[in-house]
Amino acid sequence: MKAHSFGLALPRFRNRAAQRALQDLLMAHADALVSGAADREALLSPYGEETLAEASELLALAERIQHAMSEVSPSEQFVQQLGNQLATAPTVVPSRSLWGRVRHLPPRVQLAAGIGGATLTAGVVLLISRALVPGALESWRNRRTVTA
Amino acid sequence: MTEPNTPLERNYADADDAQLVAWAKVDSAAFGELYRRYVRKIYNYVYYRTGNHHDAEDLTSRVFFRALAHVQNYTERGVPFSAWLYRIAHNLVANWHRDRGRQKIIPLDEQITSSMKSEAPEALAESHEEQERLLQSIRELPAERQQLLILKFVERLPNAEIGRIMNRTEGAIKSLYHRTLLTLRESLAAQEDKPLSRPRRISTRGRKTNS
Repeated sequence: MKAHSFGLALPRFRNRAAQRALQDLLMAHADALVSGAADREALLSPYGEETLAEASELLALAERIQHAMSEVSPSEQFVQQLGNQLATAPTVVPSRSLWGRVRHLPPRVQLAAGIGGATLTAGVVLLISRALVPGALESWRNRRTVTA
Repeated sequence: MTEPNTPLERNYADADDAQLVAWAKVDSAAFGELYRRYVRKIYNYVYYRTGNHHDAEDLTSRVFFRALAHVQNYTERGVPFSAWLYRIAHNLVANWHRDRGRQKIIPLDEQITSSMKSEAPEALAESHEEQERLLQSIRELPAERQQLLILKFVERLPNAEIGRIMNRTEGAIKSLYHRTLLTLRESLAAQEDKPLSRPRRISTRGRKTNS
């Protein structure tokens, strides 16, 4: 049984190792492309035939991507204008209202705050109602006693 | 050595990003230096995500105005300023796509014609068509894969920085790059049988940088 599962695990391990080797090769190739020093022969020499066969098409595709995605520049006028606008823009952020600040909190914090707030309000209402109307909870207490 | 306390004593050009951000909370000139460092990078990023110069200018402006408005609240926490800026840009571009509900378009003609001036007309037409197919496929990729290609091939960032911007490990970046290439290869193979659709809008404002 053990030998059987080992036999299944080994190809998976080999696959994973091959995938990692391929990923390393592709990224090394991309790094070499963007740095302008893509010596394909030197790059491929440490890799086995299996990796190379799978990689060759993807390497060619990466070279096409690099050729297609060239750097663009904004106009100098735009850069200058935006720089001037930013330099004269007010840096002080208008303070948000309490509701505005709550809305920007993470959802779990909002939920916790909601539950906490509701519990607190219910407790306060209970205490006040007991203090102001002494017999207000009497019928509820009696019902609990009967049920018990 | 004492820390410069007044703007006149500060050497903005030599300061690192973290120092500039600390100054920028009270000093607009420090923010100006950050702007000069990143405006072209952010513009490139936005341009390849939106596909035209007009929207790239508009969104780049919004990125920096938003950064200026929130730089007071920025704390590093392991995320560099550049990553913070790219995240603002990423969110604004995502909103832009959601609001417009249209496909991302990259004006190819200006780039292709300028990068292939020396080639023969037949070769030019063939290469043009191939490149258009490739960019069309890139435009159809999920946003994070487009982002990876832009950061790698246009911005030329190292993997560690790409990982910080995209909030992934370097291993995950390699894996994503591999999957992106595989998807593109499949997409290109599928496109071979389909007629090529033209971009709906072509910008005429060529500004390719020779690099």
